[in-house]
Amino acid sequence: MYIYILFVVILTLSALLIHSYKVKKTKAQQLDGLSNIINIKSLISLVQKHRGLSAAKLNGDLKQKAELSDIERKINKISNDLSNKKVATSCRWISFQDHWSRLTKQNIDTDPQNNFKQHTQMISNLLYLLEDEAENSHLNSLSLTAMPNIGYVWRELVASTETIGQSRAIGVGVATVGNCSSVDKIRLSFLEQHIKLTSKDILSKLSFLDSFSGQHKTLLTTAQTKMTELTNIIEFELIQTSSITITANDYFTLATDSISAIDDIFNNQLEQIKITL
Amino acid sequence: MLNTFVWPTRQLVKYIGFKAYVAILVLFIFTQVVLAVFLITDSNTASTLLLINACLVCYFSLSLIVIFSREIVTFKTALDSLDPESFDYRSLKLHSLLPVESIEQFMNTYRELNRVNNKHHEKLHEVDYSASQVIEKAHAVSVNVQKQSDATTSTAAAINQMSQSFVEVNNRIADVHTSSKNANQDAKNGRSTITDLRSSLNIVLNEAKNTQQDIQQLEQLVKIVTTSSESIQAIADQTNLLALNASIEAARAGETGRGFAVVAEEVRALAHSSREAADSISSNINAALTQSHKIAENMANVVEQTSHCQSQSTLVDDALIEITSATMLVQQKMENVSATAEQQSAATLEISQHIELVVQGARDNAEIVKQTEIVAGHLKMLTQ
Repeated sequence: MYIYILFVVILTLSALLIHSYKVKKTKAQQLDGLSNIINIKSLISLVQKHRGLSAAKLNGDLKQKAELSDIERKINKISNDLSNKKVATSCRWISFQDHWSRLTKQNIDTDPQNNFKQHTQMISNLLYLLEDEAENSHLNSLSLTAMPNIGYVWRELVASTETIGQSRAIGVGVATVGNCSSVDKIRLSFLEQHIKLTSKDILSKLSFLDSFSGQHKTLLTTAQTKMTELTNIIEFELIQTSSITITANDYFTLATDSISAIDDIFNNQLEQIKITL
Repeated sequence: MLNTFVWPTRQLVKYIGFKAYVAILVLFIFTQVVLAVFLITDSNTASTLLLINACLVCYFSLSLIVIFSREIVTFKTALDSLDPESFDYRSLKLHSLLPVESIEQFMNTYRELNRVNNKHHEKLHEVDYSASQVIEKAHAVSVNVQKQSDATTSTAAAINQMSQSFVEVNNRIADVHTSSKNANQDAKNGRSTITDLRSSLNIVLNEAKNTQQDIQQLEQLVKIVTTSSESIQAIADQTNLLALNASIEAARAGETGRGFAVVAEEVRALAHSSREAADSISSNINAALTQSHKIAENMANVVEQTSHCQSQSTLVDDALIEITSATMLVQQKMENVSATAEQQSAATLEISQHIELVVQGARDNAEIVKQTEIVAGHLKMLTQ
């Protein structure tokens, strides 16, 4: 009889230990996932910069060579750090590494259009990897009940930085040449619609903790203002106008400010998640 | 009620996980077997424990079965609630107690399907937008082609008109050519007339000069006559003096000289008449001389005018020569212009024919653009 009671007590204690271990493991997974997500986000930003600089280099601007090498070094460092994590087993990560190594070797021979396409594919892969990592690390609405719309952060919010990044690349080219071809108009209009959707629809759906309410709303207003300004410039200064007067630098700055505003919201969301964990 | 029955098991599975729960269930079953063995040696305690354990095993097993069936129903419901349009995996909230790996694999696959679906949606939107742009551009091209067609038709009409103008110009050129020929002929005729005029003028000049010479001779003769009449006057004066002297001597002579006085008187009268005749001759000669002077002056004027006419006729002749050369030049140029106008007329005709081809091409383009617009519209419709 006593043995049976002891047995039950041991089972109960085991259950408690197992539960504690589960909770710790989940939290560790979430923290690890958060760290990986920060690294992947940095990778995305660096690859976006690499896209722009390598395009400039392929168009004859050799002054960017040093900065290009610096960015490649940073990407390689982050890649090495992530290669030791569980995310390295993901087929998307393996695909990115393979693509990156091929791209850095072939960069001399590729043409600007192909270069843009290759970088965009890599960034798209990294965006999916970020979302997968968030899901696999239980950084979703099921686990983070205080932030039910966290899924928009890992997909729509991060994707919007890439949408603005693409519009920046195309827009800078258009402003430099002083002419917007039909294909550029179609692409820019399409990207503009995406940016408008993010600004009007997605940003307002992001969840936030009560303690971050003021900060969140300020960041949202800033981002929406920047994005509205950007979409207006795209619509009226690049697409609809017969004579393009905006300089490449001004457009680049405006687009970069919009990306920075989105990044601020992203970082703010990460801060809130850390507090939740 | 069933929910209440399985609630403890559900909480336990949530707390420790499915695998741990199954492990505990297996342990309880193992305990059941052990207790069944103990039943042989210690029947009272063992039977109680066996019963308790059996209840626990039954409860855990039954509730697990119920949870399984509930989970399957929940899973089915969740799948039924899926939005086939958006394919958004985030709307699929599965709080599953079942083994996590299979659910995770399912969610991963669903997430990938969601991405593929989103990509296709984006492509469709882009195609839709591109189709709208194509329709817009096709419409603009259609409008431009129509304008081009209208402008080309107007140009063709203008060229036809120009062609007709060229024909008229050619006719006018031919008329000018004929007129210049006639002018040339008239100039030649004028020249021959001028030549005759110059000959006549020469004759007139010569006659005038001869007349001038005759008048000069006449003046010479008149001067001789004047000299003679002066002589006669002088003789008459002398005779009158003589007669007077004779009268005086006759008077001196007295009666004897009366007859002489009469003769003297008669001589005096004769001398007086001679003097009067001489005076008359002298005055007539003067008048004749004055007249001849006038005639000489007139003749000089005639000579001068005739010379002037001659020089003017020379100028006219020179002018006529120039006119002849000019008309010859005009003729040659008119011939060149005529040739050029014919070439232009031929070129205009060719342009007119090409314009017709352009018009036809523009019409064909308009038709193609219309078809393109229809295809783009169909493409847009397919994306909706």
